Amino acid sequence: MTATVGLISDRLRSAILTGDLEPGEYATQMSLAERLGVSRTPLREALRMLELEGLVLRESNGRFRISPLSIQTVVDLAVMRINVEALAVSLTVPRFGNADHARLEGCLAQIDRYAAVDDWVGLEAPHREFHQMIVSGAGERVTTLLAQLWDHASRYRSIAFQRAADSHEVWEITRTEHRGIVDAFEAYDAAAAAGWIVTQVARTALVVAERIDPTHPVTRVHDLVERFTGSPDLFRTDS
Amino acid sequence: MTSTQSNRNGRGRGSVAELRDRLRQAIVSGEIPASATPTQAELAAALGVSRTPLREVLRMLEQENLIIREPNGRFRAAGLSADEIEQLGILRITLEAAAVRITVPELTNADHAALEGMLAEAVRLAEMGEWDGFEDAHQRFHSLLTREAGPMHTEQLGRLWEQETRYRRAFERVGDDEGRVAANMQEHRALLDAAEARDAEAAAWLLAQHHARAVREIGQHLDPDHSMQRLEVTLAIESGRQHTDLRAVPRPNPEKAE
Repeated sequence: MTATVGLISDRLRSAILTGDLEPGEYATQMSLAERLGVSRTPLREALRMLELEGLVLRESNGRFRISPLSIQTVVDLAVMRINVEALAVSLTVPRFGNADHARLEGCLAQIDRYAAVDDWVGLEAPHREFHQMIVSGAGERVTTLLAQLWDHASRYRSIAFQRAADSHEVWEITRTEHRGIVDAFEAYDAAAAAGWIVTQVARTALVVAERIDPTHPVTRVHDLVERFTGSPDLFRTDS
Repeated sequence: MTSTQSNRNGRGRGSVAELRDRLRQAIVSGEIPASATPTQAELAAALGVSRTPLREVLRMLEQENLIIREPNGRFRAAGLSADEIEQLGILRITLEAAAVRITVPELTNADHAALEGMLAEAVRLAEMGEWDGFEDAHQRFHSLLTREAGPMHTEQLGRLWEQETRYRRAFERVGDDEGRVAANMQEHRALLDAAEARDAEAAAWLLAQHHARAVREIGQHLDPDHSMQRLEVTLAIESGRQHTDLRAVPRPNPEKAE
């Protein structure tokens, strides 16, 4: 029974994260049950779980709505992720040994290989592994929250990679940041590692914010970049 | 808390209240380990009490998440661990301090007055040992100080608060003395002073220290050998100490990489 609920919520989650269920789309329990080919009782429980994760909104008339993409959520997610990633990375740096550093290098090499052949889908696995590894010393509570925030942010990440021409340009910057993170880990420099991850989360959020609504204030993000790297406007796209 | 005050609040009145405190203490001290799954009858026999008040007490502690009812009708003491409270604590410090930094500059005179009201209320309720009411005023105080953070952020803070409830409940009367309550209130006072002075950075730092003290205290009770290293790293980040040298760090240049 609980296994069923878990399976259904996984399917529902991935349908939302991949955009199969579109942002802002309305759905009833019955239409979802039909679409996913599942019975309604476990679906109800699964919907409650996704509601807690913020992926689904319960409407007053018993209908559901797939959470729309919003500029507020982009900023909200960025603020949370910047703070918690910086913490988690700082906690992980001193715990890593040679084998862990070698694994990080391995992830980067895999990522490079996938990028070289434009396999952005294949790239996801080593990319995710890399990001999971660099926070793995923070403890289960922290990593669970980060995994949730990562899932949520992945709905937005695709916006940053909308056009193929952007992919390579954006990817080169991402690559530099990954390199910076690994260098900092290998030098046991927690502050630098935190600065790099903050840079990456903030930059991605700012690109997405720019695409969704260029007029929306993003000072909260810049303030955090300054707090963690010493300079507020390191990543202003217009400079 | 003196016994007179306990009596006035009805806590010394019946065996139910006494039994609740006793059982709570047994869970906190590990006297009932989380691995044991006694039935109600076994528990009644072990504690030397009758089953009717025990049933009521179990229900109360279940609501506080200190007791977990197994599907087969047996009971289990919720596992309280120094490691868990440290993890919850570092998340709370990190997320709440960030929310306070966002909120403090936006607070109005009316907000400051409202915070004064909540604090006065909390002080009075703590003096009387009215912990349910205290909990409520306490939560409203912290919520107002984090109001301007985004909805996902504040919801996460709410969830952390709930997860920490059983720790707060379990420990509110352990080592309970005037000094501890007074120190707690002084911390809230200093936090509010910083908020009224619109010093967001100071407010965030006072908040971090306030939560850190509680986490250390609870952790010390649960496992004196637990080192709280992660808590110290978290405080170093909050104080800004960790990041002073970052500008000197050689960084790959994104432009060059293109």
